[in-house]
Amino acid sequence: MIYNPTKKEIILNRELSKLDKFVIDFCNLLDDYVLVSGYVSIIFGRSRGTEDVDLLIPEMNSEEFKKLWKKVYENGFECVNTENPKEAFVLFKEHNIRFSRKGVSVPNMEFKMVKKWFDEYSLKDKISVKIGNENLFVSPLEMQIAYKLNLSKQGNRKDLEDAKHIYELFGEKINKDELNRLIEEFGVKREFEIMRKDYGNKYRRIK
Amino acid sequence: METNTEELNEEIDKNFQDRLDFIKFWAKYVKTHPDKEWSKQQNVVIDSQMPKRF
Repeated sequence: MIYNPTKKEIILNRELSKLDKFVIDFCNLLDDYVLVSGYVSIIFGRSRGTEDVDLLIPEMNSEEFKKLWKKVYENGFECVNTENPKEAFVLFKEHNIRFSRKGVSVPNMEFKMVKKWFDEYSLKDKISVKIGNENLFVSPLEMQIAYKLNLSKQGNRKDLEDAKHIYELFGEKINKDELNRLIEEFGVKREFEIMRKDYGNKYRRIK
Repeated sequence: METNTEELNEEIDKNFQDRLDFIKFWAKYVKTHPDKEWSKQQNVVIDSQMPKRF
């Protein structure tokens, strides 16, 4: 795995999982998007599964949504919430909607429209992940860590674990100033301290 | 049998700390081994949770 922060690019030579293939197939249908949250840790090696993959797309009108809907259905996916595109668009303006492969509800892509500052940040500063001939866009690592720490405040320890995986993996290549700024912004100093604390190194050392 | 909440919470915290310790170990493994090698191991976990007809 090679991360070039200046180019905002990660070269990954991983074996694709069935989940990766599902995500790639779906994302190839989209013009502009960014993958956020748990899957970003998973693609970089976190050893856990998931039932949904979070994805942000820019705001769109009903015509654009209709076009996207058609493309998604023509390529073997369906909406888990409703079969009616008009109803889906109404839902989509206020909530997240999910798409899966036809007849299989999990895993699914949880589709979110960019709304908040951190959504915009992720989309604007996304990182390109190149896996062979495939390409996926994921949220910036600093944002990924801070955002996950923020989610962990709700009590889900899995989110803090996801943040730690990214933090430990990319360590020295993470922009510390930017990470600290985002930690301040989200108010997650306590969670950050819990995450980076040393818990004893009880596992065998890797050369 | 009585449940000792304090003991239970301690156990939960200890388990969480062990998990964080393992994540540090695994992240180092990922960092120091070829992508093909760690991803093969990881895919066993991920693919086992995927529907059969997927």
